[in-house]
Amino acid sequence: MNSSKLVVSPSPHIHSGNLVSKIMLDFLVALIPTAAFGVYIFGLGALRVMLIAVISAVAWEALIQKATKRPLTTSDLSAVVSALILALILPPTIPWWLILVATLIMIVLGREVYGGYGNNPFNPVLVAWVVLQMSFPDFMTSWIVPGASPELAPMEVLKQQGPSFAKESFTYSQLLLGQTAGFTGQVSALMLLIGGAFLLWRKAVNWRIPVCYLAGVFLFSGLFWIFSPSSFADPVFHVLAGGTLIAAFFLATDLPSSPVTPEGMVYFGLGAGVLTAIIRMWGAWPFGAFYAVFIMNLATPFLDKTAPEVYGR
Amino acid sequence: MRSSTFSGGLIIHAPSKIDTVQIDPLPEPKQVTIPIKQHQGTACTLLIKKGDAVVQGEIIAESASTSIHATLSGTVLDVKAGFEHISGETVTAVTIGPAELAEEKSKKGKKAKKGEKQEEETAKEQPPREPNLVRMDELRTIGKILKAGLIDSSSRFAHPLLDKIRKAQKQGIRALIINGLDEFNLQGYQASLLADAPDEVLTGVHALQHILNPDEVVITVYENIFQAVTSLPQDEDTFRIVPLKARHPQHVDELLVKVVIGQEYPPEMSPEDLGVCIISLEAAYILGWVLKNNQPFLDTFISVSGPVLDKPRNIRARIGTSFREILEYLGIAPEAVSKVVHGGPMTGKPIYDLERPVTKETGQIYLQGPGETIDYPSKVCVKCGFCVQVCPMRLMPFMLSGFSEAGSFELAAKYDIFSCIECGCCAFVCPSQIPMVQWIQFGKSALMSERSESDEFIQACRLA
Repeated sequence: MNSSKLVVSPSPHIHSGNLVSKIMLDFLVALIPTAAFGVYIFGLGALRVMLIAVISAVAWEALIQKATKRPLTTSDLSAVVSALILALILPPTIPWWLILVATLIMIVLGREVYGGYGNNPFNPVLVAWVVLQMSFPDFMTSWIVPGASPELAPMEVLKQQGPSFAKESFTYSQLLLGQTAGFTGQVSALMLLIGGAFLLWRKAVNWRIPVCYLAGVFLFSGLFWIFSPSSFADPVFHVLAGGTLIAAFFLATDLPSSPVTPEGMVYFGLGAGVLTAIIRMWGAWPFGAFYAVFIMNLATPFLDKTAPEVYGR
Repeated sequence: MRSSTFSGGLIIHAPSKIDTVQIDPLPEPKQVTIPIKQHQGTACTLLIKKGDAVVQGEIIAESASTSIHATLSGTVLDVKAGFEHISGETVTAVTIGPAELAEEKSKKGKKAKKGEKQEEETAKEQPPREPNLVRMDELRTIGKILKAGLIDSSSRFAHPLLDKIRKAQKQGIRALIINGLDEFNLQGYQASLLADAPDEVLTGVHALQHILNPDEVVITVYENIFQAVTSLPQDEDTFRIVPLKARHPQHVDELLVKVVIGQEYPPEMSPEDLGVCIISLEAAYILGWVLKNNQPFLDTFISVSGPVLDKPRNIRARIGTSFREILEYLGIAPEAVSKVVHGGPMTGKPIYDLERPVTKETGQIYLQGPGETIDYPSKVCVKCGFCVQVCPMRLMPFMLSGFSEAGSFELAAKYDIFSCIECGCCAFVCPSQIPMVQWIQFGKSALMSERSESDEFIQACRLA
């Protein structure tokens, strides 16, 4: 019997071909419109942030995995995606050394201490963002102002000068096409919607999280706006401004830190949406969207208790 | 509530209307190797010894539930332990070949040795001759089923048909489901049998109906193939053909019961407990054939698919034919395959030796060439939840797999690891390519060996 050697392995013997690296590639493609438009609006400063963030994040990841003698996972592109999203929610003027600090926090505190991407309880991007927001508030709000827009980001205007002033200062088309101060990833709602639609079409993210998140923001803010339009911003403003869309499509959908059950995803999205509106309306911070997702990450293990009832049980 | 399909699973992509694939008979092999266990449960007792002359159709091993026949006339060249049954049990296998291959053979075997091409013709030209041959005329159908050694290979495991019938008779059933769905294969041989040989299938169905006396009889086929099989004489009073969505794993008992009857049952129960008996269309066909021809059926139908082939094939081979001969017949060089799966692509078990024979349990062969095999490198779980969404049993596969990997078997049991039917959907969609089915199998076996003392638990594991 001189048969050629046969491969023996457990079933299944086929695979969908959908790998983590492919999902991450979809995220990267989905981020291209926003990133490119951000560079167009804010100039090479924005590109500089992205490049430093991506390169340093991958370098930190490789360095730490080498130092802790673990297999290198840079090829799954998750660090690239996280770094790019982080770059998009940092101001384009942020100093280079702060970007290095941010990516170090993101990689080390955000994921590697938990055992790498996949085991992180929080969205690593938001861990870094929260630390920077707390520690370097001045750097985090020094914007580049495009055109004749106010010098503050829309949500800051809303917080400091009230809904009627915010309404006057920003038209919907300004919000859609990026004629506002702010971080790169909030300037153009249109580009984010294009990217988000691409993610949904590719099924790279489950539709429940972004759809329920946006529904949560829209319905909750709309409820108050209907009764008191003068003291609350309208729901469309809440959806288009303040990073709602990047949070909905790119931050809340972070796979490890969001629920795995369909029902849990619905609650997660709705909860983050409602929290976003609450923080914006009554909280001290203008960027409620990111805090809301960060807080909902805490609830993920609990939301995963919504496992469907097992067949026949 | 009945629904046309179930939650989760994988859509089997195919045109909405496809034709059946004809069944090509293989030429009679020169030599066959016949294991004495070709089903789940107790192995048969061997009735012959090395050097004996046997006649085609003669019973060479039997048990209380089934029989195993010599599928060739000739001499018993070898009786050897070491055949690895799919269940993992190692059993004896009998090699039968032409008398002249053995040195000291009696002449008895010689006259049976002729060069017929078609198995069916062969079988007809050689009526039973020996006293322990099946005497169909004298036996009732039940006896025929026993003597013909019928196996029901619906769902995941092949059981002696008689065991299923006894159980169903004891419980009393209201619905008989004739399962014509092949795993992950819309053009499998069962659809072809229904399209090409409806007489035999219906004879078998009527016989089962007579024995089991169900209120309704349902024949399930994939909806894509439905129009190809509806030409058979529809008799609304006796049975109806139900087209089902092409979704893996619709073919398993649990989901047939869910979709056809609209009920679910826990792993410690069986369809019979709900008054449902599921029998494969293949078994119905073979029963019909046996009743019509009064002979045991010595062939096995096999659907062959995989990237190595241009198009899926259906073949009919003598039980005991080696995989090598089947590849030869299909025109595939042994070097062109690197994985040969006994079973379908989602749940089958790869074989490591092309000399291994096909048995009654061989329903599918899936072939992959070099470079087409898939590794499951098992990266870190990213909690994407894809596995949760596709699990037809509504389990949390990544947790079951993770608990088993970590050795937390009790937790895995708490999360209903024994409800897992190992359909493979979770691992198929896993973007981290974690071999989840393997971990779950490991967890199940660890739990079973840990608690094998407890009778109650054994009962719970019966289906797992």
